[in-house]
Amino acid sequence: MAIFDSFLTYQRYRYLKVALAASLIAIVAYWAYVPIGLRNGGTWVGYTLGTLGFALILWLTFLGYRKRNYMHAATPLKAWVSAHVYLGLALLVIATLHTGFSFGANIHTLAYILMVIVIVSGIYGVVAYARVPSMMTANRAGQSLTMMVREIAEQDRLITDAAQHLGDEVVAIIKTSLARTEIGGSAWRQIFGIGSECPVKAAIKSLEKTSIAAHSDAVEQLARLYAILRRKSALLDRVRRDIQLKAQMDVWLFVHVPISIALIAALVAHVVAVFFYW
Amino acid sequence: MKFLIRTIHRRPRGNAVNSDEIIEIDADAPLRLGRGTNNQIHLDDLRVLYYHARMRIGNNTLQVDSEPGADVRVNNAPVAGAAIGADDVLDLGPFRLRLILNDPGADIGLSIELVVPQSDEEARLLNEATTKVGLKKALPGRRPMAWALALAVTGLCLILPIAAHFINPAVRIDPNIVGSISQIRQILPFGDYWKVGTISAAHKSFGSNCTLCHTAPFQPVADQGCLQCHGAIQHHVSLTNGKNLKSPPQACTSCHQEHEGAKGIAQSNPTLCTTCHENIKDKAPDTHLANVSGFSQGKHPQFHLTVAMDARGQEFQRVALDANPPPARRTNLKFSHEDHLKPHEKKGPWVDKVLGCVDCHQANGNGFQPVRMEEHCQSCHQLSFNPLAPMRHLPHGNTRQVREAVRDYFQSVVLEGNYPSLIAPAIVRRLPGTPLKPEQRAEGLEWAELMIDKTIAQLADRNGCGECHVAKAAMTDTGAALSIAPVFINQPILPNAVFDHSAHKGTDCQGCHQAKTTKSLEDAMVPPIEQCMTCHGDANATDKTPSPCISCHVFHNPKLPAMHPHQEAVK
Repeated sequence: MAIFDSFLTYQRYRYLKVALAASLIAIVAYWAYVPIGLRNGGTWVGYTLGTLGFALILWLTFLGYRKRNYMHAATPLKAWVSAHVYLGLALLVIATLHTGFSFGANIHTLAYILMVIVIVSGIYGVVAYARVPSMMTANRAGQSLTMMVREIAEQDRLITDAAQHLGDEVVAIIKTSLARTEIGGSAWRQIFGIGSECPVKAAIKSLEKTSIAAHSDAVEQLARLYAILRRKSALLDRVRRDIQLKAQMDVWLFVHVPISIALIAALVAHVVAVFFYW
Repeated sequence: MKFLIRTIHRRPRGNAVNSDEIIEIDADAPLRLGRGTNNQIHLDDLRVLYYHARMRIGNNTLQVDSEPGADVRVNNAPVAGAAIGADDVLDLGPFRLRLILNDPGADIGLSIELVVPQSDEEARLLNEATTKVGLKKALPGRRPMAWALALAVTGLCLILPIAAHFINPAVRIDPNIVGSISQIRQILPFGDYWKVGTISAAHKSFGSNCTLCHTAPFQPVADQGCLQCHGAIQHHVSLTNGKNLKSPPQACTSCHQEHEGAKGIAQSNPTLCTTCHENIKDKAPDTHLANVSGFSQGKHPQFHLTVAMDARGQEFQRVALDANPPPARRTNLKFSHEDHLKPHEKKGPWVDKVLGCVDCHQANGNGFQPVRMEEHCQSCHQLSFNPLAPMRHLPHGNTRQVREAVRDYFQSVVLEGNYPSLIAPAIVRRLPGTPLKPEQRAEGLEWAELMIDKTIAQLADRNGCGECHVAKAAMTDTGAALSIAPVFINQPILPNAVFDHSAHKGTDCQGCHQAKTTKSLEDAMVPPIEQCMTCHGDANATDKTPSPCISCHVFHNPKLPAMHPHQEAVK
């Protein structure tokens, strides 16, 4: 929470105040100026808000470049992030007023939608950076991902040993669960988890059903196997939760960054289109 | 019987290490192989079945029989059962077995080697934890995605529409080929999503042809685009008379903004008018106009009627409704609305009928048809002129024909006789059919001429034409002559406003027009502005009908010349 607090509260909410002031001025200008026709991007208030919005978008995008060079700059990165977050929120007000709430199936609205996607993903990012790291720490319980995976592999060895003298039916279940145990995978799996598909959980369920049919002399071994499988399942849950939390913390950047660049392209098209057909 | 089990371990470099074990077996009983510890030959691997295969020892051979579902291959061919010799290779799951015949310590044996090693689960999982964890491994890179999206947006939203603009030169050159635009647009539909908003309903028919108005890239829409259709549109103020006008002529687009939806581009925003009109003398010091800032108490001057100073309709004056004396129309017509709307006491065809407004004023468009004597008056006012001949009616509208009709009557009376008037000469009262002598005929016609002049003179008074008209009769060389002052009803009486009666259809006429108490046509019965303001209010009114200036006033003054090229000429 410390990092989170520090960039949001940076210099006693200095940039929050700047953002609120900018939004308020924009709202007042929007309502105070009664144009001929509709309030939209074509009035002088509209042009001013549009120019301000475009400049703000370029400046906010510059943070991406700025972040990579923070070692060499005089202004602290924290100040930049603080300004980025608050002025990014102010942009939503400024750009919405620039549109005059008129939307349609055109590139102008496309640019607006892209901007909203970027801002919403950014809000998600702030929330994720505030909440997820502590959740990850709690979930890992002092272990690294590699340590957890090694422990799972250890359980696999124990499972192999324990299953050795059990019947073919049990071994078939175990073999399937061993071969299908996966770490990571598609973006969808990483972000949303794999739920009930977990092969270890499936194996546990199958064992619960087949235990009666097992060789009676192997009941003890079966119980041991069952316990190891449960341990492996718990370990896997933690690993998957770790991967999921990390993915949930990272996913917004895969939206935020590419859509920002697409937004700048759409903005250029928007400005050219407006003045091409002035 | 001694049976040799030789387990071969192969070291990482390839050299093999054997460990031999000799077991005692019963030559007649089958030899069991499998993962289970109760097999004589124990194959410790999950890939092997609990009971995998059975063997019987033959003469330098082993007869192998597979257990159901087991992976048993002889020389790489799956078998259910086969006899293997010294040269054969037997595969049971991951193990490879060969027959040993010539070992000195045993009768027969098998060498067993794990040829398909266990997969290293730990290595696999650790590998997955580095190669399959993290969104960077699962998603395309952020930079390639950014480039791809930016290129797609630039291509579709910028380059293609510009290309479409330059590929359709025909559309730009000929504004009249509206029909072919749809065909071109089917091929190049890229201009549409450049539009900033819906085009107005009136302009939709050519709305897809951007270059019709946007004649040159990166230049604001010029008036010439509008003038292609609206060339006759007039000025708001005269540029030649208003020498002191302090507002420069503006472009069409400074008021008429397109792409703001289907509602149309005529502006109703009163600010457009009040900018000048709330202090009109600042802009036009010579004007006689009063200041206007809205349509509520004190913001709009009282209505001024344009009334003729005399009924010749040559001189007019503008008089406010609340002036003293009030505006008076000079119509040369005597008419009392009050009398006509009362129940009649006299006898006649009207006896059962109380007139209403619509009996004379019939709607026509947003106004009314003119009231005509023949249609609206004559069913009651039949223009009879002699009580002895009530069915004889005078023609209306032509004094010469009136005189002819009177003459015609009295001459026929002379010729026919039997005229029932005691004061007429005897020859006129003679029995019908009695022939006239020439001197009697002359006497009779002389009497007729007297009667004609007398009748004409009487017509001028208030029982004849004079009832409605300003009528005079005078003696001339050719006898009495009737003269009717020409009737003049100037329209419109509020020339600077457009009042739409049809918009008020269904409301009571007398709610606005005080006809039941109006005795003279001098009073035009135009209600004062306060009457309008009981329902109508400022453009932003919330408790009254919002009434912007253009509810009643037009901007482009039809009495003025066209804005173009007049505007350029004045410059």
